[in-house]
Amino acid sequence: MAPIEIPDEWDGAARQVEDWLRAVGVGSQQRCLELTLAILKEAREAQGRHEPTAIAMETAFRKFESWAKSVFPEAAAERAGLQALVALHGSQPSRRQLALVLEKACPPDFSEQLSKFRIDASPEIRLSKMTARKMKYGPIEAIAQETWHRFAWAPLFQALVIWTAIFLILLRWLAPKAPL
Amino acid sequence: MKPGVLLEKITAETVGFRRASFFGAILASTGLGVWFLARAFSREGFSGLEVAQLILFAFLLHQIVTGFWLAVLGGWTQLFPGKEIRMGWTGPVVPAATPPVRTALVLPMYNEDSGPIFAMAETLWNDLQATGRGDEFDIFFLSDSNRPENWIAEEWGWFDLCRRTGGWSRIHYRKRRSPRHGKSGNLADFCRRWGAHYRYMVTLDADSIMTAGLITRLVSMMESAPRVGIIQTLPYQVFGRTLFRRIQQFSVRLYAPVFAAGANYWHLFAGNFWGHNAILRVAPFIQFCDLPELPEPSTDRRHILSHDTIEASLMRKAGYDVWLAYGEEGSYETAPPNLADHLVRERRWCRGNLQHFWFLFAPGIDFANRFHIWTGLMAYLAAPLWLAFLVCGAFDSFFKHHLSLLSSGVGGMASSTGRAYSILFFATLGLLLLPKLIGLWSARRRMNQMGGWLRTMGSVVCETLAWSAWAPSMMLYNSLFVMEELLGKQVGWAPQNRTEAQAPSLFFMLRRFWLPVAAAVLAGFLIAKYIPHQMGILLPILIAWLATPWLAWLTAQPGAGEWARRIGLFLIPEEIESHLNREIRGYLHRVDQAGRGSISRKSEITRLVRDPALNALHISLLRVRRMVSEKTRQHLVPLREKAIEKNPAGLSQAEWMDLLTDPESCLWLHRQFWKRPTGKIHSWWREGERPAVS
Repeated sequence: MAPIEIPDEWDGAARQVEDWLRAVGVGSQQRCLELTLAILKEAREAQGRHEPTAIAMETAFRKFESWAKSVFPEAAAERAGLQALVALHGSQPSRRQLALVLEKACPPDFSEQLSKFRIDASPEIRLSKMTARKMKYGPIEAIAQETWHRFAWAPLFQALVIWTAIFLILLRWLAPKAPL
Repeated sequence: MKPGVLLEKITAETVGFRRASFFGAILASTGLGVWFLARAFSREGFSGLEVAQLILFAFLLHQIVTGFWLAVLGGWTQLFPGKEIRMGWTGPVVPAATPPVRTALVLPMYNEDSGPIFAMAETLWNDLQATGRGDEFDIFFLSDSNRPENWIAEEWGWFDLCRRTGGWSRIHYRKRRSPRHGKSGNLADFCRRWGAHYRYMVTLDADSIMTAGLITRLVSMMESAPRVGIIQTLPYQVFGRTLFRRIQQFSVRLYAPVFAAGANYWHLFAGNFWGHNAILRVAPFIQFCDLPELPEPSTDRRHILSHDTIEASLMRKAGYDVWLAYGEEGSYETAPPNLADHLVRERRWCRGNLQHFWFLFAPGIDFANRFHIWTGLMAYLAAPLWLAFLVCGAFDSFFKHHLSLLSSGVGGMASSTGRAYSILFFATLGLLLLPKLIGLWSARRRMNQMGGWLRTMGSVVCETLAWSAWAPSMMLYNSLFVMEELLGKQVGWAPQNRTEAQAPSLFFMLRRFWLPVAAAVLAGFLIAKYIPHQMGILLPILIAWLATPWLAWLTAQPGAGEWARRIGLFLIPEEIESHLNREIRGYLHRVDQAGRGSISRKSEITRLVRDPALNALHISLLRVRRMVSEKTRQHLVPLREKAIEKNPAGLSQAEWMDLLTDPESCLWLHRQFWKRPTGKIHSWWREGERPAVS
């Protein structure tokens, strides 16, 4: 078999794709490498003026979403991708099944296992009416309300200032001018 | 033995006799003490300071004699167990009912380390399945966390727990976007949405541990006693490694059963609720126990922070019973790891308990609940009252001493007051120490579970000295908390630190406890200058204040706690394997093995953005947004750019929460993380990178 040539600028892209596939849960090392090469090949064909890592990862995301869409046909592509990722980790597939991720034809048993997986973070809501009853706090409340509603600090402060001023004026005026 | 609830028929006479005995004893003892002091004061007529001292003394003494009589009645109950009336379950647990009675185990979470919480839940779940009654129970993690790192850790913790136990549709996780009204709001939200599915609800705190056996017994008790609204269990403290925690858990293990039995003696069906490690009847809780607003002028002070006591009062007001099942084993919690964290909790509880003042005179509240409220108030008001009593005594002593230099008659009066003070001092000491002896006596059959007689006695002496050394500083800080509260200072409901991994440094403790040191220096100077003859009496308080930072530091050390354990001090039955029932021991061991430690924001956010499964899970759990407004988009787009490329470290907690509550932003961050070559992504992300979760 002829060696596959990967130009230097695609090295980083290859590492990134392989890491992502492993994080997704793709089963074996060999399968990861096969998929990486396939994704890179497709990405290079569509490269255009894009940065290699970006286009390679875009291709990986797209491929995964289209695979997920085959498992969750009723969901939109982006949502199907999310559902598939959660199901892949939640339904605890076998190593053999994980090696089938991104296969063109997902085996029916694996597809069923994934599509049946649902996360229900909470049960169905059955609303109850829970409202506080009016509480009377007795005489303390009446006293407190009167104090808060009738008592104001500003007039008290004003009165204090006025009386202090009057006191100081009187003190100065009434104090004997000469020592006694 | 036929299984059944332990309750016997309680007659009005029994209740009346018990309450009359308890409150009569308190009134008589307090009256005697006050009369004794008044007689000493009255020789030359009362001065204003003496009247103030008498009033303060009446309040303080009643609190001490309440504790004393609780211990005496608790000891009495244990002396004659045949006359005990308590909530409990006798015989084996009954099989599941058909159809199963549904019970929700609810765990409110607020920025806590979720590792131990999920470990506890997993153990509990597996044990519940093993009882054959697993179908009756669902678990709810009710998160109010507003730190992104805690939120992420909780989501994955829940997902992983479901994966391991297979409890997908039975173990639930709910995160509130806006944590309105704190823990009580969190529980109320659960009740409104899902309460109708369940007959009972077991409330657990983040550090609560309850065994499957106890929970199934509690459900059976509720089923057998339909008038019961709440059954509160008595949680013992466990897992203490620092000396501070070990001393607390030892004290609770030794004395709490006696005090609880004494409390149960008088309140019977009118007990209190402590907010966790309890079972509640959901329907009346929904119907009657939503918390009313307080009549405060400021809107942000109208919500009740400490909800439990009020919920018990409302449950009683609605005609349901509240029991303390103090004899049931299998209920645990943890204590704050050091004095500094203990005071953080005290600050919160102080605000909560002082708010209860409003209910003291509210019509319709049961007398017993009023007394629970009063006891809770006095737990904090006693501190400033003690401080005021000491200051009044010092002034009084100063004036009398000066007068005694002028007149021999007044000198005689001063010495007679001094004698009265001495007698009262020793009487008070007796009232404080006798409950400890009663606790020791009642634990006589459990001595070998606590290291034997000698070590238990040694532990009692050491813990008495330790509490005596902490008490003056606690008095000072609690006085400060009460003052802050009366002046309307705001206090948040901060998460409780429960980790012992990092012991605070001595420098931290010196900074944290400068106040008692300053108080010791100032008071020492004033005493030496004005009342040097009182130095001998007041010196222990000054020494305790001066020693606070050092004591706080020493007792925060896990090494010191380990040393105490090795020499057999402060041992509890849960630590001595051979004496404990296997279920509890195994359960505690498994929970204790769970990883504890701080959660790093950087690594958790990196994990969320890097890991495809976690990212997908997080987005799946978010509420689907039908439409994002242009204003929101304009807010989020620059944040995303800042997060991925410019300065992620510069994003605030609120900005991260904004990003992580937006599904589009989460997916965008994930894709950008992977699409950018290493050099084009901020180094912050590489630093926070960890191996992917699988």
